[in-house]
Amino acid sequence: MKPEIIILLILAMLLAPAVSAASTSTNTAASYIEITSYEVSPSVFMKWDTGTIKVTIKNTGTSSVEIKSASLFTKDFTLINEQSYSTVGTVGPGTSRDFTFTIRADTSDGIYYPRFYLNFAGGGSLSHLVPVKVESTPLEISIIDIPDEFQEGVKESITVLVGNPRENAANGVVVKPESDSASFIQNSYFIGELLPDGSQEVTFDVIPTESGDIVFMVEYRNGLNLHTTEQVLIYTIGEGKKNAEMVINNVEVAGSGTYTVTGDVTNAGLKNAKSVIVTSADPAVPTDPNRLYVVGELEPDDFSSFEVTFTTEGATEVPLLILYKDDDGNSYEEKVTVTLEGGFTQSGSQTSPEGSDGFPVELIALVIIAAAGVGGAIIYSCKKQGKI
Amino acid sequence: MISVTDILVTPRHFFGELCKKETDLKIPVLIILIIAFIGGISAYVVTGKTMTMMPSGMEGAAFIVSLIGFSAALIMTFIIWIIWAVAIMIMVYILKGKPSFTRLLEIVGYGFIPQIFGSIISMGIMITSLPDLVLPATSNMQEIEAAMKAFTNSPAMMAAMFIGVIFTLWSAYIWTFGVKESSKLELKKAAICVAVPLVIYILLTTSSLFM
Repeated sequence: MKPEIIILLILAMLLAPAVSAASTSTNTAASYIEITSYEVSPSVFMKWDTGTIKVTIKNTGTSSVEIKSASLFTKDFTLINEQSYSTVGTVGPGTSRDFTFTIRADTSDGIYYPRFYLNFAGGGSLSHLVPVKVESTPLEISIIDIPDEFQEGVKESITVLVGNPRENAANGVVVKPESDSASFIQNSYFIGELLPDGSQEVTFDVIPTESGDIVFMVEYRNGLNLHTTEQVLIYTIGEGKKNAEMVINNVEVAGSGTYTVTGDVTNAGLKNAKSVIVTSADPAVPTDPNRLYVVGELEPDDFSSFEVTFTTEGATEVPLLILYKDDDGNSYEEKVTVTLEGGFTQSGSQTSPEGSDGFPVELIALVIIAAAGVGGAIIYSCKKQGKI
Repeated sequence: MISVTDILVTPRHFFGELCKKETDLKIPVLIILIIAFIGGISAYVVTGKTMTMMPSGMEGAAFIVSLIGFSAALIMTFIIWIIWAVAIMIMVYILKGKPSFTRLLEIVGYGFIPQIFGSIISMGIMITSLPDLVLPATSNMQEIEAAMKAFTNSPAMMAAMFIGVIFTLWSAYIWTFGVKESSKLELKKAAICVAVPLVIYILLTTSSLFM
């Protein structure tokens, strides 16, 4: 073998490890760095939501790796902190490093894959696709229980159900009722976290003042982002078809000047009547011993007798007032007109028909017969005297 | 002997014959007495009923007050008799007739006969209706006043009033012929002599309806 060849071989043997070492440092840098995890927050974006993508890398090698820059490439999202990782530095062996990117989802619903990209100082790069979901379905609000009808000034309960049809949890969920035509006992209801496919019932006590609408607004957060959704309930004021309804019968009027009216008061409605009181109204002046007659509670189809006393002058009819309350303390008043019949008890005359002014028919007939008899006698007399 | 039928059916003939005789008030007084007695019974019943308004402890006074009511009605009937005669006499004077007070008193007395029937009917109404009337026991004058007003406007009292007016019209018809025969007035003027007091009487009697 020639000495030149031997020298070349020796040089080659000496240089080979150096060349080999130089090429390994570039290629193994990427192999040392591992993307250990990534986190998308919120886990499911809604359109126009702002959130973060956090990527964690780890140097699993035995030597430091110098990273020149890190970035996130996406055409579907707007990267807000674009220059945050234009210079990164060295990642020591066995250490981890987080890269957090803030993005805004100004895109339509779908699944997108922004690319996480690491640029090593010694050349080479590492990239990874991060899946991000955009889904804009809002929380659902359903009105599941309302009264059959609303009444002015009467408290009623409305139950709404807030449901989360989304894949991720909604936080800070608050339900607020709003109306120009009603007031509410509860001005809002805090639900808090609502898990995916979860729901929560909320009951509001509403006191309407007139016909109108009630807006139930749900506020919630998807990550940092505040969202609202609403449901409108249009209602009209009714007459209270299920309300207690006071009926008076078996009325008997006794007295003259000072009258005593007795009878039965019956609850012909479908709800309880509480604190039922019977009294008289103008032109009558309630007087002792029974200015007011407290009947108490009357259940549906229940009845009770009553007796009220009052004075009046010249009136032929007097209104009786029946005052009562419902279970919520709302006050009601019903008026029934009673004919006084000149102070005679109705017990004797109730069975016989009466004239239009309460004048007994027998007396009317008697007066007419007397008038006819006298008239006939005078006519007969006139004829008889004409012949004389 | 007088005939009631003559008075009621042919008063002109009856008074024509009567005026030929001397004035005799015995029968008219008897007629008025009958009416007064019937009216007294009615007053007794009504007064007794209104005494129930008095506070307890005055039960003993009720009988006495009822008797006073009876007596007052008795006397009032005679006074009313006289008032009618005076009123008619004044009208006869005005219309230039020739009135004699005792004769007019006699004529008015005979003319009261229809009111015997009226008084009986009114008394029947009172007796049958008043038991149903309940008056409050009170010492409050306003309440008593209101109760009495309501009482006088009660159907029974109104019916009695209408009956009284109807039979007074019959009396007035009879009086007209008596006045004509006794005062030598035309029938038309005699009718006016009776009609004017009659209208006043009806207005006064029915005034409670409008007040």
